[in-house]
This record gives sequence, structure tokens and C-alpha cells, in this order.
Amino acid sequence: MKANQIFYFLPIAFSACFLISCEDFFDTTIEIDPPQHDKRISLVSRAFAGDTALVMNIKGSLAVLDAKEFPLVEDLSLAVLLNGLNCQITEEPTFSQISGQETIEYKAHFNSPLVPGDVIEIKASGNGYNDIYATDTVPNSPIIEDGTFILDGGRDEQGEEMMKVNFYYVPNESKAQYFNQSIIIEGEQCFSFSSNEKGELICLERRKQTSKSPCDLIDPRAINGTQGSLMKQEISDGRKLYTCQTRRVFDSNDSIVGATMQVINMSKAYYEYDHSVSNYFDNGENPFATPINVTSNIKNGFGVLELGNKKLFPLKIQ
Amino acid sequence: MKKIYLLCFFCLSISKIFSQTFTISGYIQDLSSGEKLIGANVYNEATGEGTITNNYGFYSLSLPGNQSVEITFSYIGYQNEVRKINLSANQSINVDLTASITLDAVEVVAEKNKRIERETQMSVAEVPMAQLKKVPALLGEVDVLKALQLLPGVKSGGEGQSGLYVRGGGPDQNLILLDGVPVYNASHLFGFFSVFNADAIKDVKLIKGGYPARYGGRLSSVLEINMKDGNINEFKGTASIGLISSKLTLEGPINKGKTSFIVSGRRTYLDVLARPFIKKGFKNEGQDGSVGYYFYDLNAKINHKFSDKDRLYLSSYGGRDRFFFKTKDLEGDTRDFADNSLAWGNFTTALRWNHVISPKMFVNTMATYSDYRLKTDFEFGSNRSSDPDYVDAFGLNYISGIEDLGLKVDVDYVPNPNHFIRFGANVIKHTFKPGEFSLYNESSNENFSFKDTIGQANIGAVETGLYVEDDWNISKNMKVNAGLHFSSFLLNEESYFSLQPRVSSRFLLPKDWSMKASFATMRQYINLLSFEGIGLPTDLWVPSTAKIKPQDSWQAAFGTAKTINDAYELSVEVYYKKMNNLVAYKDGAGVFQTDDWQNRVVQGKGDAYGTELFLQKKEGRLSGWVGYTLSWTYRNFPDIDNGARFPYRFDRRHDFSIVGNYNITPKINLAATWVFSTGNAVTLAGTRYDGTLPQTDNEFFGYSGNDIEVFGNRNNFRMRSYHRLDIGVNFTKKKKNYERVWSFGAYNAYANNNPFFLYYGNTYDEITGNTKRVLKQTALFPLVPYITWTANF
Repeated sequence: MKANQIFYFLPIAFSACFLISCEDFFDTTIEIDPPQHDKRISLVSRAFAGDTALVMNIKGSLAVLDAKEFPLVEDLSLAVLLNGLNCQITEEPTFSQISGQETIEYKAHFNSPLVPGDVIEIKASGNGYNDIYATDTVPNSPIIEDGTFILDGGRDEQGEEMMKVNFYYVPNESKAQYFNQSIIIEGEQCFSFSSNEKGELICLERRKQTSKSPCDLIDPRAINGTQGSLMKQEISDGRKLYTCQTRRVFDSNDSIVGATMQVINMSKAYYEYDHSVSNYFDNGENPFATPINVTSNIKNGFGVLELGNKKLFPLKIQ
Repeated sequence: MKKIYLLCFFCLSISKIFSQTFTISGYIQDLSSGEKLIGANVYNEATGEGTITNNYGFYSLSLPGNQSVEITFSYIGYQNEVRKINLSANQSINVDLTASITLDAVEVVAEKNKRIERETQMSVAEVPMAQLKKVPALLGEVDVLKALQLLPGVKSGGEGQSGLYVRGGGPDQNLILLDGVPVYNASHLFGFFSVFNADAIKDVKLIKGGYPARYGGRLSSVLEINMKDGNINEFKGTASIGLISSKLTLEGPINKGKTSFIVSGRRTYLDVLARPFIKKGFKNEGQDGSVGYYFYDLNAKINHKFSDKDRLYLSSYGGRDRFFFKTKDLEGDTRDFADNSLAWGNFTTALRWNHVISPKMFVNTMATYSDYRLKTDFEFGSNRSSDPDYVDAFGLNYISGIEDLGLKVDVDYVPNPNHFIRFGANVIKHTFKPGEFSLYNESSNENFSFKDTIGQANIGAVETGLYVEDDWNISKNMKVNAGLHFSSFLLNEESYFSLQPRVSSRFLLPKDWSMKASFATMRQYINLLSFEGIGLPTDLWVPSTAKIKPQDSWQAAFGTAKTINDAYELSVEVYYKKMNNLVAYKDGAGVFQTDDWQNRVVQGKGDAYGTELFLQKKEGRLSGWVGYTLSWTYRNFPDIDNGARFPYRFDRRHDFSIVGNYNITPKINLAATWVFSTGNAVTLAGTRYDGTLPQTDNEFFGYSGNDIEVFGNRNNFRMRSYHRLDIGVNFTKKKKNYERVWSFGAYNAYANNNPFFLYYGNTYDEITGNTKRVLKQTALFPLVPYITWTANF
């Protein structure tokens, strides 16, 4: 065979290879080893001012490919301190919300209901795990002096009908205040406002899902570059009057019999964990999104100890 | 006393510059086509004094008068031309060089001024187009950008991607100029092919560092691509048919010797070939429909020579990608329909006027326009055959892009062989279109209609630049290119100004070695919001604003260079680059969001350092290069990993490439490429924990998180190493009226399973009968052969 003929033969050979390049011949997907498992204790717990106990979910972490139930921590040593004083701890059998299998819930009991400024500390250790430590402080009570829900809130620049809430909010001037608030109309969330990562008040819009309107639409129009609906702040009667205005999702003929404003002042850890978990699940199905690390205030562990202060304020309907 | 010395020095310098000299000037061009040759040498054989042609093929060389000199004109791949010139007056000498046709045309001997060790510019890569076109390519689609990825200091993104990551920079940090016009999205088919049609390109030059002052606006590299001017002597053409596209290039004189044109077009045709099969598939499902993808691009240029002093060029590029999916039910009363498309493309145009003011001064004045836009249309719903008025439809359109209008003046002034002074100014009016949604929803069922346009208003900005630089022969051994680049960026709410010093130098050592050093600062006022590693058309160009500061960088490089045996060019460089105010999406943020993009990004720092080795043989029976890069690249964002420094996704410790091109006979050419690189860094979870709140959560803002994966530090996991062999062979045969070339080859010839994407998925365990979760690595291309037929006529 001449050299030239070999060169003609080569491409034919490659073409033949290509034709038989079905899945069996060229398997383009292979299994590889994942990153190392970072074995730690996880602790997830939340309490509000007024609570008399702190319920804790304490487990061991698993390798990401390990399909087992999250294990209980062997030889768990657990201490919960309220303002430096040890609390009584009880263990209660419960069922896992995921598998329905029995697990254990740990509960720390307080001598009196939690009040703003209370400091909770948790220390835990277990066989084969590093010791963990967490602490958080109960935030101040949110103060709304007065509030009105106005169904007929005028029209926006594009002529859309609006609804709005006017309220007198007393912010904590000394430091950033993290909070979530929402307006509840007859038991259903209508729209909400919140703080941003700097503790500044912003107004989010989360519409009630109806057949007439898309739900959870974030309105892009904002004031001062913040995400949210039109948010106004002005001085009225010597107090700070806030107005949150958003597009109306109710017909003007709808009869609104009750409106309540729920406000949760949050610790920074609560705020950050809440937002990062929300982002984590929102982006879970997006292969192109940058992975989101859920924040944690558990030293040497995973999870969160988060404390809040929750209030409900009835709104006048106008 | 000091002042007297300084005065004397100044006077001597002035007298040196303006002493009695005569200037020879003109254009150097290809004899057969009249194409201007960029970077051709003009030098005095006796003294070694010389110069090179500029981007328009113009040269100017001033020499002491009243003597007879032998001037050599040379260009790689061409036969030298030696002219005896009597220097008694300024002379205009246009030179036509003849292309070398021998197999062993190693005529690098004459490249005295262009020899790598003599140039002040370092960190530059110039690969002859003829060589680039022979590099085996994916599906036979010759790709300039992918060939450049084989050079040291230049990394590719993912498998098959055409983005360039130069010395730790991002793909947005490359100033890509097509005939002087910025191109914003340089890729087709989601990054698998570049927009540059190799048949229409004359010259490619990539600068990775030591940037001359005439360039500005990007941090990491300058890629200058010049289109062919068109054959001014005779009609010529090239037609080729490949696996995915066909190309046609026509060029020739409109007015012989005065006016020429070139038109080059390319289109993919997979959509056309697949249409009957797809239609049939839909019909079997009771639907009428089509789905497909195509891209096309068209390059056109016309130039006219008014006189030896004035030339006018008009060049344009237009390209577009479109993915579409359309279905419609053919049966039933209520019939569903969907009409979706995703289209994006660039359009650029440049009007250039070259004017020779004097034998020593050349002016290029240019007006440019560049437009990149992305448009998506999604519409679905249903209608009823029994009720023509019935409609139930939802539609969403998204438009984003960037539009530039520019004016530029560049002046080359060559007072004597020791100075090559360039100065100029440019102004660009940017219009950024950061994304606008149009939504509509109409339903006869519910007597409901909704129509809205939301998004962000266009942002206008004016970017200006001023520069001056001098390529200065300080002594026989020492040469410096020093310059200043001033830039400004004016927005409604903010103005930015920057003065950027640039210097590069070379010092000749014995035995044809030289040492080189450079320092450059750069500033970038525009940012690309992009998901790392994937050249999606949804990537969004946005300006610096009052809130988002401009990106800055400085880079220092040091190296050595030598021409070995008059055939091999060797360079070794080390570099360090520091970058500030880099822009990245916040965790979880992305495109297709309607809030202010400024709230979706964070700014941080980056640094990159490494060493590069490059051994190149440009001509001869065997040509090609060997490149090796050892490098480190990091990023640091206050909002990511608590401000810890983390490796950049394309932080690859080793990158090695070898490119060979061998002419077995005048008719048969063999080419091969082998690349090896460390795997990319990615973020993967290794651990998960139970995040379930231990009590019923009645709050409206509560979450019910349970299984939460811990990703750890950003880019904490390494993909496997990447290696690939590409081979190709070209058979050329002269036919009666044309020359035919058959090209065969294979991409990834030994079918290595190179990592492209990692994900957690499920697999079936045949032993236990259960499915289990595993980490999977997916490769894109196993062995991919190609075949291309080309006719040159």
C-alpha cells in the first residue's frame, strides 16, 4: 500500500469509528469520586420572644452521596445556657418529616418566657465529631404605632390600580434592624416588606396567587435602587410614616373584612440563614446558578440557632 | 549645572531628531493580490536600521542623506526584495513581494527587524493565518480563536468553547477588534465556534501584556483581527463545503489597481437538512412543527485608492444565531401552540480613511459602529377551530444588548529610524441595553388580558481615549516603547478618569538573546455579567456606574527571547497581574431577572501569575509550536467565602500544547495538535445535613428546608485533567480551472473522555435493584471526524 493510499484510508477508518460511535462504544458519562465528606454536627433551632422552650434538631452530617437517614449523634453531650444559666434538657421521640421514621427532638426548657436581650448559648459534642458552639440574642420587639390598609391606592404611572399600606414604624436608630413583615388579608399573605442585608427597609411584592395574576412577581420598580415596590418614607404628625404601595390583586368590589400586619424582628443570624436557605432552594434546579452556601452561626458545625421577636398588628381597612 | 546638562541633552536630542535625513516611504503588498502586508520589514542591510509596516501596510524609514543604500523588504513566507536606493531626496517606494512557494521556504533569515529578540513588544503572539487554517478543528470548522487557545498564556473555557482566558483574565477582558471595531460576542453556537470566518481574515495578533499605549479599555488582552482587503488585480474565490457549514468567498477588482472588494459568507445547514425528518416526527404526533438551529455570518469590504496618499476602506460584518422551536396541534377543537426562539448576533461596520500627510506621517481616521443584541421570544397557548375569537395565550419577550458609535484618529510619525511615535484619540458612545421584558397574557376563558413591559432603561455613556507612545531606540542594544493612555468614561450620574502609563523594553544580549520587561496599567469601564465558563448569548454587557466601579489592573512581565538557527523563535516569560473591581454575580443571581442588575453583582479582586514558554517555527516543511504555561489565578470577593481568596474557575496549573504542521509533499499536508491541561476548578458539595426546623413553622416567611448540601469554599474541587489529540490531513490537487483541497481529520482522535460538566445524578444498581446517587462526569465530544471540500479558484 502506497503512503498516499494510507492517508486516504485513515479518514475512512475514522468515519467508520464515528458511525459506530453509539452510546455503548463511546460512553461520554462516567462516575467519579465526589469531594470528601466534612463530618460535623448539625443543629437547627428557632425561638421567639415569649417562648418557654427551645426545640432543637441535632443530627450528624452525611457524605453527599450517602443515602442513609441522617444519624443521631452518638454519645451526645448537650448544654443550653440562657443568660449563662444551664437549662433543663429533655429528649422527645418524634417522626422525621422526610422519612416518617422515628427520631429524637431535643428541648431546652426556660424558667420564664424569652424577652428581648436574652442570650442563648448551645454547646454540644459527640463521638467522632468536633465540639460545636452557637449563640444568639433575642431581638427587640417590633413597634408599629398605627397602620391602615387602603384598597384603593390610586394608579401607577402605567395606569394600573394600586393598593397600599400606611404605617408608622419606629425603627431602631442605633443599629441595623433585620426583619420580615407581611400583610395578611383574611389569612392569606398579600404582600410584604422586609429589610435588606444592610437592615434598611425595602418593600417586596408577593402577590396572592390567583387565577387572574401571576404569583410571586417581584416588581422591578424601586426607590433608591432597592428591589421592591414603591416605598415612601415621610414625616407625618412628627412620626415616620411609611407607605408600601403595590399593584392591586383584588377587585374593588371585593369585601375585605380583616387585614393584619405580621412583623418579625430577626437576629442577624436568623436573617442571613433565612435568606440563604430561601435562595438555596430557589436556585436548586438551576444548573447555571452559582452554588449557594447556606450560612451558619454554628461554630464547627452546620445549621443555625436563630432568635426572633414576632408581633401581629391589626390594620384599619379603608 | 544640572539645568545646563539637561538643556544640552535636550538640544542634542532635538538635533538628532531633526538632522539632515531623507525618507523612503510607501506600501508593501502581495504581488498577486495586492493585499497590504502588516508587519513587513524594511531595513538597511549594512547598518541594521529599519522599520516595519503598520496595520495598513505603510512604512516610513528616514536615513542619513547623500548615500546609496541597499534596502531589503521582507515578510515571512515571501521572497525578499532588495532595492538599491540613492538617498538624495524623499522617495515613495511601493513594493510588491512574491509569496514563497518552496517547501523549505525558511526565509526567516532576513527578518532582522522582526526577529523576536529585537522587538520591544513582549507577550505577543502572531501566528501566520496560513498556519492557523491548517490546525485541525472541531467538525473541520477552522476557528481562529480556538487556534489561539493553543498558545501559552491563553486558556480555553470548557470543552469546545471559543472564549479566551488570558493570563487569569475573564472573557470580557479581551479587546477583540475586527478591522478596529470592537466585537462584543465573538461566538456562535453557544460558544462552540467563533464568529470569525477564517477565509476573510488576513492577519491575527494577540497581545497578552505590555500593552502599547494605543490600546485601552480592557484588562487582559488585545486581539486584533484584520480582514483581507480584496484582490486588487484579479477575481478570486474560495468555496468550501463542510459537515456543518458551507462558505463562499469572492474577491476581486472593481477598478483594477484602484478599487477592490471581498465578500465572504458562511451558513450552517443542519436545520435545513433535518427539517423533513423533524416535520415527519411532529406529524406522527398530530402536530405541525419545526425545531432547529443555524448561524450565518457575512464579511464584506471594499477599498479604494484615490492616490498613493489616500485610501478609503469600508468594511462590515454581520452575523446571527437563531434557535427556534415551533409547534401547533393539527387535530381537535382546542389546539395548543408554541412559538419560541432565541436569536443573537453582532453587526459591525468601519469606514476608514488612510492619509499620508508626509513621508514621515501617516493618519488613519475611522468611524465605527458596533451592535450586539439578544432577543428571546416565547409564546404559547391555545385557540379553537370552532371559535376564531377564542384565545388563551401567554407571551414573554426579552431584549438586551449593547450599541457603540465611535470615532478614532491614529497618527504614526517616524521622524528617524530611532523613533516611531504614535498618538491619537478616540471617542465611543455606548448604549447599554441591560434587559427588558415584555409580557402578555390573554385569556378568553377568564375574560382577562394583561400586557406589560418591565425592565431597565437604556444607559448611555461616552468613553474617550487619548494616547501617545514612542518606540525608541535608545542605543544599539536598548530599545523602549513608552507611552501614556488617558481615558474617561462619562455617565449621567458619574464620571471616571484614568491615566495609564505603559512601558516595555528590550535589551540585546550576545548570541542573539535579549531580555525584555514590561509594565502596563489598564482600565475597563464595561463589564460582562456572565456565568463562568459558558459562552451564553444571555451574557449581559453593563457599564461602570456610580455604584459599580471600573475594573483596573496592572501587569508586570519579564522575559527572554531568542531566534535559534534562524528558524525557531523561543520566548520565556514570567508575569504577575493584579486586578481590582472585578464583577461577578452574587450567589444565586443571574439573567432573566427584572430587578436592577447592580443589585445582582459584587465586586472584588483577582491576581494571576505564572511563566510561559513558547517555541515556534513559523515557516518551512515542518512548522508549528510548543507552548507551556505554569500559572496560578485567584479571585477574592468580600461577599464570597467570607472574603477568602479562592481559585478562579480556570486556574489551571499546567497547560501544554504542541501544534505541528508537516508538508509531506507539495500536495499532502499533515497537521496534528495535542493538548494537556490541569482540570478546571468547580464548586461541588461533599456533605449534606438535615436543615429541618424542629417545629411546625406557621410564619409566612418560614422555610421548610430539610436536606441541605454544603458546598464549602468556592471552586473547591478539581475536574480531571484534560488531554486531546486532533489530527488532520489536507490533499491538494490542481484542476483545470481551480485548486481542490480535501481535508479529513478527527477531533479528539483517541476519544478521551474529557470533563465538560459534573453533576449529581442517579444510577441503577443492577445487583441491588436500587437506584443510587452518584457524581457523574460528562464529556461532550468523543472522537469527532470531519471532512471538508474546498475549491480555490
